[in-house]
Amino acid sequence: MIKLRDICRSFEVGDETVHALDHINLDIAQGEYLSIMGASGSGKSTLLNMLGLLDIPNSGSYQFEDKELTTLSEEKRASFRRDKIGFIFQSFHLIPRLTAAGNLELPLMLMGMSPSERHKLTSEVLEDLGLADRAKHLPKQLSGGQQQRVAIARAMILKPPLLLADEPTGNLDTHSGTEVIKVLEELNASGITLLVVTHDLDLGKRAKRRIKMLDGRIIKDQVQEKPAEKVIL
Amino acid sequence: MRAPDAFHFSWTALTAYPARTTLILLAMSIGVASVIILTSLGEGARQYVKGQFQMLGSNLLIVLPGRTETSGGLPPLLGTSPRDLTIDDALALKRSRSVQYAVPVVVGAAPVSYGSREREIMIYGSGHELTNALELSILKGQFFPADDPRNAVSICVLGETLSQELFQHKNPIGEWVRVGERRFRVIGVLRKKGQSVGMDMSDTAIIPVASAQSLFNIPSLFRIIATSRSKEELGRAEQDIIKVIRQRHDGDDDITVLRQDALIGTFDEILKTLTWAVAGIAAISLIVAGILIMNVMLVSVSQRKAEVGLLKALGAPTHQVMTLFLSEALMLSLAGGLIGLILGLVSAKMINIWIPDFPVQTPLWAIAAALFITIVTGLLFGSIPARQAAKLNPVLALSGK
Repeated sequence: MIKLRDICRSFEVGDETVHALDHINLDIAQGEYLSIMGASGSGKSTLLNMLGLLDIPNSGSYQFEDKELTTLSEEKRASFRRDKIGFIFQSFHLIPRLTAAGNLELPLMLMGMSPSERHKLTSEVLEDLGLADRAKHLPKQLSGGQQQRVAIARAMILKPPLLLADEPTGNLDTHSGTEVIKVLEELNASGITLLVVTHDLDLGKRAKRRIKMLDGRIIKDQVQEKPAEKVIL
Repeated sequence: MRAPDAFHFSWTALTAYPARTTLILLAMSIGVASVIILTSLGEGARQYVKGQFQMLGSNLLIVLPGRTETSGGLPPLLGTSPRDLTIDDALALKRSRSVQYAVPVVVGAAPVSYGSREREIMIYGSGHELTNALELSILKGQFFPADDPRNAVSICVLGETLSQELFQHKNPIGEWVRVGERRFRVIGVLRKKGQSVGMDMSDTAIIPVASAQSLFNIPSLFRIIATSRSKEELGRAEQDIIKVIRQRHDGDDDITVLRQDALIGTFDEILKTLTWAVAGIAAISLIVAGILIMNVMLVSVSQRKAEVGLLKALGAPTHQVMTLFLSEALMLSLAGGLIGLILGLVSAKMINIWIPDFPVQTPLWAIAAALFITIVTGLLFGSIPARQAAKLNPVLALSGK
C-alpha cells in the first residue's frame, strides 16, 4: 500500500543541518500493524508526519496505493489526507468549545456533508463507542480515555485505510490506555493499516511489525510472529 | 464546506471568547453609529437651511445695487454702483410682465421701545406687498394697506418675537411704539417664519419704506425684493429686471440680481460637502475598528494554532482555513455594523425628539456606505490574520509552535 523510497528530510537549526530522515526506504502493506520506536530526535515523528502528508520530503518518493504523493499540490494533499489518512494525537486535539459530537463532525463538515447526514453518522459512531450519552459534552467534561476515543472516532469517521497514531496512550492512565489500544487493535483487525509512534516499549511490542529508528535512519525492522499480546500497559 | 457550517464554526469561536468579541463589536458599532449620527446631523442641517430658504418662496429675486457677479455668496452690502436703487426703480420693475411683486427695502438698526421695555433690533422699511413677496402671514391685525410707497406713514408691523418681548401678554394692536426718534402705531404682528436672507423676520419691526428712509436718512434702497409670476418665469423676470434698471440707469448694468434658487443651490452644495466631510471623519473610526479586528484576530490565530493544525490534519485545505477565519472577521464587522446602525438610528431619532425643529435625517446613502465600509473593513483587516492562519505549517501548528 505504501512505498517510501530514499526519503530525506532535513531541517536547518542555526548553522547546522539536522537530517531528520536520512534515506528512508519502507514498504507497508494493507492491514499491517506497525510500531515505530526510537529515542527523542530519532525521526519517528517526522516519518509519521511525512506519511500523513503533513510534511514534504526534501527528496525521495512516497507512493500510496501506487500514486506518487510528493508531487501533489497543497490542495490535493489536503483532500488526500482527509480521505485516506486518520490521525490520533497524544493530546487528543479536540476543539475545546465543540461538543463530542461537534468534534466528531469536523471531518464531515470539512468535506461538505449535510447536517442531517452528519448527525446520523456521528450518532451511530458515538453509539458504537458507548459514548452516546456524552454526545453533548464538551471535551473538558470527558475523561482522558473518552476524549481519546472521540479523537479515534473522528479519525476513523471517513473510514480511511491508514491510521497514524502519535503516542496515543501518552496522556492516559493504564486503564484508559488499555481501552484505547483495544479500540485501535480492533480497527486494525478490521483491515485498517495501523502505525503507532511511541516511546513506550510495551505498547511498541504489541505491534506485529516493529521499526526502530536512530538519527533519521531505520536501524531495525522486525516482524514478530507472536506479538506481545499480554503486555500490560 | 458549506457556508452555514463555516458561519456556525466561526460563531462557536466568537462565543467562546465573549470579552474579545464584545470589545470588537463595541469598537465597530461606535464607528458605524458615529457615521450615522454625523451624517444625519449634516443632512438635517442641509434640509433645515434649505427649508428655511424655501419657506420664503422659490420665485424670489433680490436686486442689489452694485454690479458684482455673484451666484450665492455674500451680497455686496456696500454697493459700488454709481446709481443707487430708488423707490421709483421698484415701481418701474412692477410694470414688467414677468415680475409679480417688486418691493423696495431699506434696512437699519434702531432701538424699539414700548413703555419701559426697549430692544435694539433691525428695522425693515418696505412696501405693502412684502408679505406677498416673502409669503409672510399676519398673526394679529393687518399689514400695510395698499398705498404709495413714497408716503412716510407712521405705522408699523412687529415680528412675533419682538411683539412678545415688548408687549408680553398685552395686545399690541393700536399701541404706539418708539422707533429711534419717531413714534409708530402698531397695526399688525407677523407670524414666525424662516429667515429672509440673513434677517430674522420674527425679531424685527417693519415700517413703510419712506418712513425708514427718513428715519435713517437714506435716500436710496438697501435692495428690492422681487418675485416672478411663476418658477418658470424666474429667468425671464431676472432679464426683465436687468433690462428695466439698465434703461433707467442710462444704459449702465449697475445692479446684481440674486436668485433664491441659486442661493439654495449654493448652500445645498456647501452643506452636502460638509456632510460628506464629517462622514469621512467618522469613517476613520471604522478603520480604527478594523485595525482592532486585525489585532484581535492575530492574537486569536496565535492562540488557536493547534486548532489550525488539527483542521489541516483533518484535510482542510488552505482556502478553507482562510474562509473560516475570514467569516469570523466578517461576522464581527457585520454584527458591529448592525448594532452601530441601530444605535445611530435610535440616536438620530432621539435628537429629533429632543430638538423637534431640527430635522435630523439619516440619508440612505449613509446607511449603505456605513455597512459597505464595515464589510470592506472586516474583509480587508480580517484577511491578514486569515492568511496567516492558512499559511501555518501544520506540524508546527499542531505542536502549538
